[in-house]
Amino acid sequence: MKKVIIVDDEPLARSLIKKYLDKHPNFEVIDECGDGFEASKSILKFNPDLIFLDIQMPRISGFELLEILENPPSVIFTTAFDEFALKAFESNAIDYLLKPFSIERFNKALSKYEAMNPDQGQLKKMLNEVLPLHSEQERIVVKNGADIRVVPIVEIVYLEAMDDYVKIFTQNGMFMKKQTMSYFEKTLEDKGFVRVHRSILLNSGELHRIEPSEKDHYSAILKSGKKISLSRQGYGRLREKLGI
Amino acid sequence: MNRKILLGALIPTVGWLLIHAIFLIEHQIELEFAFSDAALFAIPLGMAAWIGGITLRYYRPDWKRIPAILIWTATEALIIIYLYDYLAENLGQMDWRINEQLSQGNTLLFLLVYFVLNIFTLFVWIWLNNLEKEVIDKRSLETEKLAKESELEGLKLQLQPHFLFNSLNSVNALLHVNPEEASRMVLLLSDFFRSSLRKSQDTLITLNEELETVQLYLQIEEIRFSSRLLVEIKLQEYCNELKLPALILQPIIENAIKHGLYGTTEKVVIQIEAVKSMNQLILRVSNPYTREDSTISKGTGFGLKSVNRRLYLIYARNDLMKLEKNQEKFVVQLTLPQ
Repeated sequence: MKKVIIVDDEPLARSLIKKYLDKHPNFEVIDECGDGFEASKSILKFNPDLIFLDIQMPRISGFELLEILENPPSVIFTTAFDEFALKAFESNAIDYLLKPFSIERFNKALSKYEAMNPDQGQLKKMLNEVLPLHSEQERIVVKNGADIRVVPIVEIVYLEAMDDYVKIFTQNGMFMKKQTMSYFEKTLEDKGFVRVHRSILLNSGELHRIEPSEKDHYSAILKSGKKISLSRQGYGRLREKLGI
Repeated sequence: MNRKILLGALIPTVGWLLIHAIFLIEHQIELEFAFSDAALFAIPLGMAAWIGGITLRYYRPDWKRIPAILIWTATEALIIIYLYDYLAENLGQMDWRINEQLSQGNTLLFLLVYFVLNIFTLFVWIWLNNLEKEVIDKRSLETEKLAKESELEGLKLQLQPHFLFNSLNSVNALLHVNPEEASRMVLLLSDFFRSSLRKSQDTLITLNEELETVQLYLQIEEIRFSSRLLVEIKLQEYCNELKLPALILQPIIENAIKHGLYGTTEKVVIQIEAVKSMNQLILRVSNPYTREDSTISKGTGFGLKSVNRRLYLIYARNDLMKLEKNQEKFVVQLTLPQ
């Protein structure tokens, strides 16, 4: 018996998937969720084998939900229209259902799931591809235990790498996220962020001034008064970003 | 344009002719003599002005080339004066110049001619520049208008696919659970899309028309979200006929529904208010919202952003949409100039 959770903000869309699943007695719907917050709790609680996941949802998108899960279950995406996502699905062989979908198409997706072993590496790769393109990429979703926070990118002061995590320092406190620094460097580059040090990604809008510290070394003084030392390359990149 | 330059060149010619002649007559020169002498001067002057004007039409130097123009007009002035001297001498009309008072030398004459030619050139230069600027402005205004129109169409199109396919998905679901409701949904969808297609050409429609479309949209959403939706519309008198951009309310209401329905299983009340104030239509759409919502990002997705963009494209103002959040309500306010 496979455990299934359906995540969609529309009750009718959920009821259709339930209806289609009636014909598959080896699948059991153990929960239905109307948004990503609910879903993250439910997934932790029930540890499902498979989720049907809508992408466009209020609060956090389907992609953001997967991103904050430590061990995401297998996913079949359901979406009405999302050109960037479709490209990523196709290139990563992850199945998706385009709404509205027929029962035949639905059955095909299920047999595909049963036939192949879910590959988490592929899912992660797809997320890294699709998240920066996603229309709502003006925020980062972080999770601390059961607490999910949506951090607007404009509120970020700087990010600091720490082992497998990145510490996100904002005007309202610090958050941790399991992600690589180079991912953030890539996605935040055109939002004014500069890698000023091997382990620091700074929001150049938060810079107050640059001052020399030791010989040949410079430090950035932030608006908050915080002092961050710059690497030689980082100093160059910062100057380039600021156009000086 | 060439004719205008020719007519323009006649002004300094005739002006010079008259002043020159009157000046001579005042000094007891005979009328006939005075005019023929003046003509000897005025005609070359007019020709020089005309040639200069025509040249400017095809080649207009910028400010940095002013010295070149000054040298050119100076050369013209010298030629005019020496030509005049030569002609006057050979035609035997120099008699009057014997008068000391009049022959103060060619320097004064040169400065006068030089001044007239430069003034004329300056006028032509400014006139041609303005003419050209007008043409360019008109063209860029037209391209801008075209770009705006296509952008508006694009935005409208972008708003629809999600709604369309999600609704079709709901119809598909209803066919299994409630075929009668499915039929109603198909009819509502047809009406909604027909009315939005019809309106896509007209930029501004009345509030009344917009609310009709909104009603259709709301009925569709009520089916999609299983009748948990309650919508109150409060219209102040006289608001019905006020104008607003077609389909501007729909994404706002869509947003209100998405956010209002979250986190509660009870009925959700969405309010739409319309007030007329100082020749402006003020629209307020509010939905209840819970504390957890405070974590939501400031930019609330594509829908509201596109509303702001459309308002900017139509009214050229960035301050027409305001978002308010208080303890229990999220309000979008639109100000629509009439």
